[in-house]
Amino acid sequence: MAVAEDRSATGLSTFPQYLLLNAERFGSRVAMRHKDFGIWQSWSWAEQLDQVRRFSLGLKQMGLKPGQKVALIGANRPRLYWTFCAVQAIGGVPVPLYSDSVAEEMAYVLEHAEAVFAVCQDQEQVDKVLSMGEALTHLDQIIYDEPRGLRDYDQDHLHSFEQVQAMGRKALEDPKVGEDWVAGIGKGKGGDLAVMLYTSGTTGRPKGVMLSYENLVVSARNANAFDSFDQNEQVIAYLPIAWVGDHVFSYAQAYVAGYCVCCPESAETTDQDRREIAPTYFFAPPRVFETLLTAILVRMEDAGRIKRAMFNYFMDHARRVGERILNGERVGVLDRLLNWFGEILVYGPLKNRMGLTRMQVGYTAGEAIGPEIFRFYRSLGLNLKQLYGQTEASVYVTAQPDGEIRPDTVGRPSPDVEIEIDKSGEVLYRSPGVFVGYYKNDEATKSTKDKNGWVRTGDAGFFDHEGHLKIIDRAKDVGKMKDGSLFAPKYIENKLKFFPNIKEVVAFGDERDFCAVFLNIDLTSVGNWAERNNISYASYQELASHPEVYAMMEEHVDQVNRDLSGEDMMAGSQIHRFLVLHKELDADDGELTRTQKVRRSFIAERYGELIDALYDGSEHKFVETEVTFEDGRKGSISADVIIRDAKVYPVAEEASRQEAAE
Amino acid sequence: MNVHSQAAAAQSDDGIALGADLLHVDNISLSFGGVKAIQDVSFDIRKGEIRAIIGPNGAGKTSMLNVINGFYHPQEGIISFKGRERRRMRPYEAAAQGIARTFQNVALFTGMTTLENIMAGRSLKMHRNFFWQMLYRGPALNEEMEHRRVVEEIIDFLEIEAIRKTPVGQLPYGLQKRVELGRALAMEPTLLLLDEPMAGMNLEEKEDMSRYVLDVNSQLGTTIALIEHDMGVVMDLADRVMVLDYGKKIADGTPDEVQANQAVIDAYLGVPH
Repeated sequence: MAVAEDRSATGLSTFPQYLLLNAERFGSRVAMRHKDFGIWQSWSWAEQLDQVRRFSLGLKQMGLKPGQKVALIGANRPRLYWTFCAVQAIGGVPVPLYSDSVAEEMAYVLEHAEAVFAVCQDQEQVDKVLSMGEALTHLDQIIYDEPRGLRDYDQDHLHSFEQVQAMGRKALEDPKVGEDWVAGIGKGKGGDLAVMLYTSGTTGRPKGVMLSYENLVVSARNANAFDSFDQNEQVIAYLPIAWVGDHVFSYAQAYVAGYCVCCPESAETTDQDRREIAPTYFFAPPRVFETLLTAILVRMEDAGRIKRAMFNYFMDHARRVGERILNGERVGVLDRLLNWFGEILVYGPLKNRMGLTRMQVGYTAGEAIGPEIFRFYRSLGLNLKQLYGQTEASVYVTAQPDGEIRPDTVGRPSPDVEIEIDKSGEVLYRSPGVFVGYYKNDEATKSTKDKNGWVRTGDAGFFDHEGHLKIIDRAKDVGKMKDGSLFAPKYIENKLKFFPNIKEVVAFGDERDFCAVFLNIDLTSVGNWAERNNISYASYQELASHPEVYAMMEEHVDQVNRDLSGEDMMAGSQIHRFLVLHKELDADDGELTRTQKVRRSFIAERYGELIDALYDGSEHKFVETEVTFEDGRKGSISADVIIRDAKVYPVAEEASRQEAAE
Repeated sequence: MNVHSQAAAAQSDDGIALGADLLHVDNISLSFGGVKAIQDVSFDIRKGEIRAIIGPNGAGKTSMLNVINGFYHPQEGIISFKGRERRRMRPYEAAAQGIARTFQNVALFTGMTTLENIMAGRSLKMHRNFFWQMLYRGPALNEEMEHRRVVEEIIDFLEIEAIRKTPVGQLPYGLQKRVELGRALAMEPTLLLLDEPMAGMNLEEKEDMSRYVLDVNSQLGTTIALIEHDMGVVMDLADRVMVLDYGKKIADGTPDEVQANQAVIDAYLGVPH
């Protein structure tokens, strides 16, 4: 039976086709849930088909033609997900937008995509679209989901979702209309344009990434096979619908596998809703895992003595054996027994609190996750993994297979993906998921994707001994040291920043003989440590230059150097010298951006003397720095900054070869 | 949606047309011993409007609200609500007639959750007796579910889903105010009295609250009388404004008229005597 299903499924090439199949094979299974008025409402695949069909035919009645674009603006709501399929069923192209973008950004995308209809979640989004007025030359009709506040609007071009569905229902009275609709879906081809996703991009205007059905269906099918997802999965859809990840996890993979997608009540209730749903597959950026962990640690601080002791004891145990059990390694009987007790007393309740009780597979991606945080979840027995993806690849470029999980890699190439690293260290890939092109932007398409289908990621990386890809930095930030070895500042900075005692790091090394760093201590964490160790200090500056603090930093740097020495590509950028800055890097002084990112060039200029001191071998340097106080007054602080040498290790492979020779 | 049906119900239940007088206050005087809190004040509230009562501290604004909802009994004057005259009325009778209120200092049951607090606002509408409710079966259960649905609509309306099960004592002040509004709305009032709904709020909270007040008025069709110190808020929200000073009415009219009134300016800024 299962085989027969698979065969029927693999013959399909579009999502509306999958909808028809799922309504047939999983007719009574739940396809979509949404918490509304405090209750989880659900729709089966058969009901979902009905909803989509009525809306789709309603859109057709309103004059939507094949090839025309429909914008989707709003949060994760069933009706918006249905809109994707309803538009696709009649040959249109859905274009989801980030609902938190301001009106001007939205206007650009709506206009660039030539959207003729916009489906909005609520009054807020309708207002935004209406406020653009004449700037939108293509937009004709607006459809809204939630009617609240919209009753008094001029309704000429404004329709409620129900009204459109009612039009569809009326049309369906003629049986031929329904038949034609199904026949139209049957004609859909894999090469057709399925969706356009605008990437925010750090510079310039957003670009419309065109993905075909083939891109998405093949990627979804591969991903489902990779983690053995079937119709029994439950996911919670809480990330922006305009983001490729959500589109693939909550739409493409769900349609292909036939699993259930749950929409939270509102953005603020996501944590509670996740607890109620207990998703079997969960994706979150590292930030979410960090916040979850912090919330738990804070609550544990306030817990009673017995609970705290229990938590500490079993978390220690988990740290020792939890991950090994998860990886299927050999673990002693006693340890397993303890782990079983821990599951009952601590791990189980913890997972329940986080809503991860039933999680079979979890992914994180987007940026580096702290190894401690990553290990915390894995040691609880949660199969958290990392992947590396891009909109242009229909998400999947690499992913970690079960049993090969490392905190610092993004895994092996995903099924059907080929990867190459070019001379400058940039990662290139080729796969069935590779996008068709950027909409109305051939120039950008050409510079990103070559004629053989290889796509430039813009990220630099390398493969480690086990064939796992490591992403080190943005390719344009990666430099070379004088001896020709790769220098990736962010990679080094991130390694150091994972120590809670270090708040900020600035690494230097491009066009230099060796790598050297500025460190900023984390006042909360180091201050706490100082208190516990009876170290008195009067100011940030005094604490930063304290010999014991320097000793601590030296340990951290040493640890990082040891790590780096084990990596062929990065061994050359071990830290030779470091200093602890006498003041905190601050956005008020222009040293950080408002989003707390280091402004490298500005710092290089401002602290030029200190950089020189790092490289001329001096052991300390007297500097005076101007600072801006919060009320805008300016002052200056001066300090004699100490510079330390760090121990550098030979490259690990060489070392082992030497050992073997002796 | 149900919100609409509520609005329709609010407009039709008493047979009073929009814009007609809902509440009439004639020559009210109220004194506590020698203190004359309100002296010979007359005004009206029309159905469907937002009516603001403003004035300096001690002008008698809260006393006026207390008179309207039957907490204080004026020594003189007549009040008519929905066309019925009354002299003495108890607060629960006012509630039964469709007058709900919030308080200047939040008065919620702090140990109870948001949901329970708003549910408490439904108690007048519950008809099953104590024993049925103890059993929590049959009609009592159906009734509970019916009321829960209304409460959930209010929670959705005020966007407080995330704090549904949080004890209100743990909530920040701005949210407590919103829950209190929710509890008042649970009575499905014809007339809603808001005593300084924005006091102690920051700008963002004020903007939120203003939107909810406007939404309650336009979506649910509830008539609102509010006391507020923030002039910006009052001038933006209110259809008509009455100004009290030392218990006397010194002006009454649209926000623009009131703003231009010399007596009002004097009352607020002070005049050399």
